[in-house]
Amino acid sequence: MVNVWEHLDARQEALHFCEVHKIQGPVLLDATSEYINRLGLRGVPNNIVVDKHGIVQAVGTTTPDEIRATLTKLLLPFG
Amino acid sequence: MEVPEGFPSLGAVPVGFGPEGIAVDPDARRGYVACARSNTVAVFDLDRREVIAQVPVGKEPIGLVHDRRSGRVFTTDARSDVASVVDTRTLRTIKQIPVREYPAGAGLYEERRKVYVGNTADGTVSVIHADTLEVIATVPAKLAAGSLGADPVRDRVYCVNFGDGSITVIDGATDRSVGEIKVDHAPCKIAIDAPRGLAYVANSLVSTVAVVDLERQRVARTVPVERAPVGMALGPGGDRIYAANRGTGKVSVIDRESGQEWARVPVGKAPGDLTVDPTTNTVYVSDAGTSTVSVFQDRLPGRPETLPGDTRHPLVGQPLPEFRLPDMVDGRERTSAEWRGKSYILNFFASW
Repeated sequence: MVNVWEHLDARQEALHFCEVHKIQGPVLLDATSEYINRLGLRGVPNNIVVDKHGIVQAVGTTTPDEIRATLTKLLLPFG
Repeated sequence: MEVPEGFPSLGAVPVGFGPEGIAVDPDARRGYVACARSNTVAVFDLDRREVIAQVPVGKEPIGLVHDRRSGRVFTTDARSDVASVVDTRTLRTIKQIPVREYPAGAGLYEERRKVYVGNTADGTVSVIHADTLEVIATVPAKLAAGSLGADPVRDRVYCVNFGDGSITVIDGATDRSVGEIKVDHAPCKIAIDAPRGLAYVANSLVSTVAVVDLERQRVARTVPVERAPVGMALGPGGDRIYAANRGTGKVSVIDRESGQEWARVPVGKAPGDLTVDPTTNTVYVSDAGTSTVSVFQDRLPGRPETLPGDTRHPLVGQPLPEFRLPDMVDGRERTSAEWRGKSYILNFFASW
């Protein structure tokens, strides 16, 4: 997960958010928003699905169904 | 960024941090926006598009309504558990009214002189008298009660329950809960067209807008929109609605009759609430991600020739640009190289 667009102390805001929502797994801080701006994303939440070759397969999928559909496609032998 | 024809941009007004609830007073030519991360209400001139004042309120003001009759702005201050009252003549906060836990939504029933506050963590609605500034009732709603709207024709107030996928129906005279309407996941905002007996509900997690028949008290149909619709407003002409898509930084303009999306207007990042000045057909949008209010005019007479299609993000099919970012917990640098050879989902989020 990558935290973006905070207004005050990004680390404090992100830590609090992750504590409240019991988020596990690595969380990275894009405190200056340089990375998300470089990617050209204009909203949150946003998901980028990356395959094992490092190629972006989908951008923006937010619903569990959509994510499931994209992951299923990725796992197919020809995907 | 391509601006669709018929929607000239009038720029963006820098306001306080994290703008959310927004309202305009077309007669006084003023706009008011709750700046959730600055703990202020930014007051701006609608025509000069400049901030005139920043009025301190409680912590994390999210919901905001403007009552013309009393000349007061009410904010729901989520981390202070109060509703703040701002006198727009003196531009001062004159009272902070204690409500319940994490009040994030607001609604105004102007005719009955009541301000409704959705206490999101508490699942209740506090009812405040707009003139005496007293809490006159507390109505049980459901999980994560938030955005509210009034229907003076049927004398009902509707509270959207984000955590329950439902709307609590409140009797406008007695402030008693009289029913419930099921909608889709995570309903976020409601806009009411009382004369036509319809309400529009943004379902943020499934990216749809539900059209609710207020006579029959149920969902008549569902319209798909872009990612995460969070804000909504009715077009003054009666033929369209605007939905702010927090996930894409655009406002969808939707034809009410067909449910067809007529246009997508780019605004600032992560837009939330929005409102319309009907005297000039100008839309004001809170851009939570850029801390601005984006302004554009709606000059589209009717259905456009070209409709927005499915746009694939330019990154799709490309290698993900390398990242090098510090870990939130221990600060050490993490790079995309760590995940080489694995498929994964990179999720971008903000704490608001």
